[in-house]
Amino acid sequence: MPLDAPFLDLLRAQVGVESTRYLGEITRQLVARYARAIGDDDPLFFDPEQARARGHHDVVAPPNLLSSVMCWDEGTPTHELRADGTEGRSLPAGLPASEFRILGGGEEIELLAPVTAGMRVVERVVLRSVLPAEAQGAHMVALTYEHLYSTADGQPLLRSTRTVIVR
Amino acid sequence: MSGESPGSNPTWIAPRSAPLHDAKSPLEIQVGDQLPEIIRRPTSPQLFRYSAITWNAHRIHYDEAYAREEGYPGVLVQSHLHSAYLATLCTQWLGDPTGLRKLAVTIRRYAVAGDSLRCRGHVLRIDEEDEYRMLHVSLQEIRLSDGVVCASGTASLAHARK
Repeated sequence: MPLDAPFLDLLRAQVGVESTRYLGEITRQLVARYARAIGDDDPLFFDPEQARARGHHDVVAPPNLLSSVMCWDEGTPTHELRADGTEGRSLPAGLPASEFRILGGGEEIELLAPVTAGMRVVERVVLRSVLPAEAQGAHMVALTYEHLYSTADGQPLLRSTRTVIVR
Repeated sequence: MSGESPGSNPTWIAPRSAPLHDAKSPLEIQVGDQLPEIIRRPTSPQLFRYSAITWNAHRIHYDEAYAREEGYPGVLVQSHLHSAYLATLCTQWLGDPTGLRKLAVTIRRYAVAGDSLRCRGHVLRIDEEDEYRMLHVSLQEIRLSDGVVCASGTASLAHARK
């Protein structure tokens, strides 16, 4: 499928369509392992007592943890992953899983409240825009998504606006 | 972007637990001040761990043969790991990982395992509020071997006055 007008129409039909899903509970292990993986040893990420002493319910997640996790459940069966290893189901509906490369194009996050262990998190996703682009003679499409992460009882935690490049 | 911006109206201000690394008091920070640099040296095990904890199965971050097929000299640093490095630059300077209110990062060039990345920034603007100062900073992550900017961006940090 080329990056032509019908393809763009297919994507544009999904602009503004929202989906909401429950992601799961933030655990101390997730927070600590994420902090370890990024090499940040701030005690707020590891020590519940220090976190409570500073007014938090439990250990605090590093700032971009929520928006960095690509998949919150068990994920696609390994034999169904795309050739590059990525999850085809994260692509817009109708996008052939094997024909395009997907690249990150930048992200802005707004931190609306501290994220702490024990929170149960819900994500709302909406495709905001579909823009054709060209770089070094190659056609591509820039998809901009907004993700709003909230607690299960409605407290906003983090808003992410990220651009995904399809080429 | 829609809704209330926490960058202009934060709803939580935690007391600082540690001084800023340059030991300036909140009121001494000025436009143009440099954030203390940090150096990050991502390794293959770190990239593997980061892919694992974020459940990111993209081969370009752990399969060196695949990365070379794609034209890269090694496995690539994940875009969110670049962002995490710049977030750490900010929060270590601030002394509070909950002080970050906004972070915008664009990946300019790739980085691979084995690269050394210098993270630096400076204060662009300061908004004075009753309980805090909102510090707006410019950020860069630079590959030491050739000076290429791998990531750049901006951040806003709420800095408690007390």
